[in-house]
Amino acid sequence: MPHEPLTAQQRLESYRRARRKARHRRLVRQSSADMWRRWMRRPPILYCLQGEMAIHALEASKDAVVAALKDTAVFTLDTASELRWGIRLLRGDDVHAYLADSQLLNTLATERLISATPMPTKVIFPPHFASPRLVAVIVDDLPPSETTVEDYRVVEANRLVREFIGAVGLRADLVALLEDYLGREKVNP
Amino acid sequence: MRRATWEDILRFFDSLHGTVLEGKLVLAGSSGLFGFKTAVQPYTEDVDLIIEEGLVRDKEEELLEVLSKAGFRHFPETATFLDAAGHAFDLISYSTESMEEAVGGGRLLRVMVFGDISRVIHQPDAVQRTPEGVVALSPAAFAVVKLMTVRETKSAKDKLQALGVIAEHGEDFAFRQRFLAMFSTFETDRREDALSDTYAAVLTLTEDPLYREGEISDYREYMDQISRGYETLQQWLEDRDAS
Repeated sequence: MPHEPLTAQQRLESYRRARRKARHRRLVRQSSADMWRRWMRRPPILYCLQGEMAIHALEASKDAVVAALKDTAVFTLDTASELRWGIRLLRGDDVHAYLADSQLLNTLATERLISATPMPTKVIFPPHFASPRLVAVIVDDLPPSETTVEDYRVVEANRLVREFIGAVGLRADLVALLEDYLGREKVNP
Repeated sequence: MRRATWEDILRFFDSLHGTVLEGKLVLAGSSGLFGFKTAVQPYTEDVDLIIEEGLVRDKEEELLEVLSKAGFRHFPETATFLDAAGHAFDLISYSTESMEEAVGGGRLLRVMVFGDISRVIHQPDAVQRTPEGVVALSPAAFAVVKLMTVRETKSAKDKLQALGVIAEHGEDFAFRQRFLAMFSTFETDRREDALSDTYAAVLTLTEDPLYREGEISDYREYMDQISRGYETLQQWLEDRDAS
């Protein structure tokens, strides 16, 4: 056997240590008032697993690519956040979009808005500064969306938070910021 | 150690016919997934078998003799047994008298008594027989036990397996009723601990570099199942709280 089996007494001690750690986590959770309850209602959605991901280098400005996709894409992550509230939460200047038709990528490439060939990466948020990219996910059905004041389609607010959590983990600072913006929207839609 | 297959488990249970252990062991732990139809993977090498602590205490010698005849060597002071082929199993115990964790059993065969299992195993429909006659935790009991399991390592695996089974039974009303009845026997704090740890387990998947860099198409189905299980669990609990 790779390890000597634990005696019953050792198992009991290990169990008690695990329970002590669980009680500590509980204290931390309880000190966050109801924040953790809200978070737990937001399980992560993994943007890149919703369909076929294609990442292309931008060959025009980010705004030009977003404008070209205005009638066809549902934007998400930082692009949705920017279109919705005018803020980007993460590093980089990528465009994040759901597309229902991969042909759109060819069209963008023909118009010299993006590179013709996809980039050999699946990293949504590179750990280094990189040139702006279109991070597209091709899906059969576009996700539920809402329309911004400028008529861009962005993923629903709750889904946006879930996709951020799916993309970067449970970053308390980001989730709190997103919730703050969502709260302001409700007060002043 | 060698990974046990369903055939190995059946052979072992067959060897118990006519002995003091016949019908007294319940297939559990990750190997409990062999006990009902499921696509959730056990990802385990050893087999966990639930046994009543009183039986170990009262019939220790007889029990050790049966297992020795079946080819299993006992590690003293533990509840672990190993055969020559490398198959291992652990006895885990429940009590009919207490819901507390303790060490019990006999002089040589010492077992840990799990309060959570003691609580679940007495519930209606907690165990069932496979068509081959092996007694195993029912899918609902398996999901509850895995959600409530507290241990220092592999906790995320427990929670993800529970979500996988819940996802498979999302439309199964009887499963839902059994699950909620068993889950509700735990105190609010313990239930919230379990849910919080389950959420953490789901998050660990998003941090897995495999999904970012690897062959993500294989991962997609798994993530879908886990997400579905989590959302089903949340919905059931919200519906129950609202009613």
